[in-house]
Amino acid sequence: MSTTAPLQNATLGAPVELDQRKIRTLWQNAFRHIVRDRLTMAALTVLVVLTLICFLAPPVVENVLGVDVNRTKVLDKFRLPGDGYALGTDHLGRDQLIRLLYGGRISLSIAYAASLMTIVIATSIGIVAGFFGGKVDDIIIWFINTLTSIPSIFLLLIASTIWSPSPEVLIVLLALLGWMGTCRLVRGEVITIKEREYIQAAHAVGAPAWRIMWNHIFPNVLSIVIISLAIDAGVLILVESGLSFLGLGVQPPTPTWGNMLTNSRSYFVTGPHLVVLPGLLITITVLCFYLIGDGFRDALDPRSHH
Amino acid sequence: MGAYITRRLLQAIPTLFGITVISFFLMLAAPGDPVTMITFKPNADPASVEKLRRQLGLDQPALVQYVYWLIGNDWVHIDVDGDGEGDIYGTRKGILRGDFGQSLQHKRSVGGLIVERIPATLQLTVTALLIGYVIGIPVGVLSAVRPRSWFDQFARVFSVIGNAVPAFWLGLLMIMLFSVRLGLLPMAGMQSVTGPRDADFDLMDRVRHMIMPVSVLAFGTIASISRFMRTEVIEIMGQDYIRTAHAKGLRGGSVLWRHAVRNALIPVATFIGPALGGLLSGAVIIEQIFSWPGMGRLVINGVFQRDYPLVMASVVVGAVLFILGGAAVGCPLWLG
Repeated sequence: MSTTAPLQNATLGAPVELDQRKIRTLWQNAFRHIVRDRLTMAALTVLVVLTLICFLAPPVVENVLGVDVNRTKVLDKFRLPGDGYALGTDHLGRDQLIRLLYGGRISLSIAYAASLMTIVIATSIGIVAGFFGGKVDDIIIWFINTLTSIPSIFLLLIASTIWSPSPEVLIVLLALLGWMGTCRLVRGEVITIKEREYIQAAHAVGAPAWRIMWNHIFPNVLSIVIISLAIDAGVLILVESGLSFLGLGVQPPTPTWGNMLTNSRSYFVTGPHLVVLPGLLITITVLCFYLIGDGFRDALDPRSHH
Repeated sequence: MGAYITRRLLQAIPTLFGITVISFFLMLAAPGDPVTMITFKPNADPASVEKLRRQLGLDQPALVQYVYWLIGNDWVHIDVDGDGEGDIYGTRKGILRGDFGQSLQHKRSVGGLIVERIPATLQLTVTALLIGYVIGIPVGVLSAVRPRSWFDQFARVFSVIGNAVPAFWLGLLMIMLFSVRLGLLPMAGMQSVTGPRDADFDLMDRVRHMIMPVSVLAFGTIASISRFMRTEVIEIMGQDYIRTAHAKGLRGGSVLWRHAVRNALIPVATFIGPALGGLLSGAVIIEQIFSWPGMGRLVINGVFQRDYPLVMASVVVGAVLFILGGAAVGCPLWLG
């Protein structure tokens, strides 16, 4: 359908029309696809807004309103939402809205930083394993199999007791224990890519291995990398909140969405909002990341274009 | 069959070796001196502390300690008093002979502790796995039959949310609703302790205790299995042999169930291994929330109490369960 249209126009003597049907690259196509995909755009918007609020609100709260996030007010404990506080207060009378924003800043920073780090590790190891194959590949695959055979939470539990984590340490731990799945994906893709003619051609003209990996293979696994980045960020929010919930992640009084739920068993009667809200924010954020990941997958997979 | 099992077990050896190395060196990196944890006295007699250290083999280099942990030290003549002559033989048999050492916290054999707790954990995870497959497969098939129908859309929303909700939060919400507000289900434990005959096993009571933790665990499994099944069935329905079956005049239902679903089940069945692994991880948190006396709670308490022998043994046992689970799943597939 699309191939005949410019030809007709050309024969009708309107060469300008040709320019209007520019050849779009995969990325331009993907971009157009995402912009038209309402669900993905909605998820992106929610995530961007949530991130901006969580990152911009704390300085405003501190400097303009002069409120301390850890300020306790015993008289105001267990206030319900609306009762003088937009989202109520916790068992120490701390403002839940402010704590949710601060918690969001920590949880989202960990998710963004750790997923980036995960992806960097996964992509570089995956490309090396897939490209070189042989012994290098065997060793890397053995290592991945070993790590993935241990229920991941066990390793995280142990590692977080050994290095009782600050947010920075937690980011490194999560990245070091979470790269295996994406690495397998990248490696699989690289193995098929490296048999293509243009890679053979690059070898033939004597391109060094690093240049083939960086210039010819990396751009071709980029779509997998971007999809995994979104999905991994969602998974990492879940893992971090689980760890913090158990009391093994970021330590109080620094709030994260996970550790705000740690003692929530005691609030079932007095403060149900303390149980519902942090979890709801975790769910919404993870949902956004997953939907964005799905949207990217649809947009970047040429077969899904109708 | 025998050849298959042998091959799978041989393949598992390097992985298991890696797991023991990781576990051991994490234990070594852990802060805190095991001797002070055993004696529990900061001002214990240095000479006897030194003696204990030698007796436990803690004066040895890391590699030697690893070997002792792996194969035991009952063949080593230990020089306890430091005079250069061996005095006694070690007592440890090593994990390869099933001796995981003593728990620092419980002062009991770690192996025994774990063996006691495994059934409770398996009860939760295997039930959740079964429910996940029993519900997930029909849901996936129905979604695949009519893609983009209201049922498919509903299943999609359900599965995306099912994967995004933190299991521990879902557990908390369920407790808040069904136990605290409505008083319908017990909020914690494996059985009621108020009855006059506590020790007896009461099936209905156990089921009531299992409903919430199993539902939370199964929620995510149903979500993944139904999506997986949907993708597989849709892909197979586009294959040539399905068109052939239609061309032969088979009715639609027959083509779907006898040709498409049966073939789609194979890749979905291999997912049991990873699913079980995920459930084992998930059970750690779920057991904590519902005070379910399984391995997860044992491990978390061990982590908090810095009971390293216990934690390391759990890692190894968890990994072995996972590997054996994967191999067991492969058996019927390989036979079929």
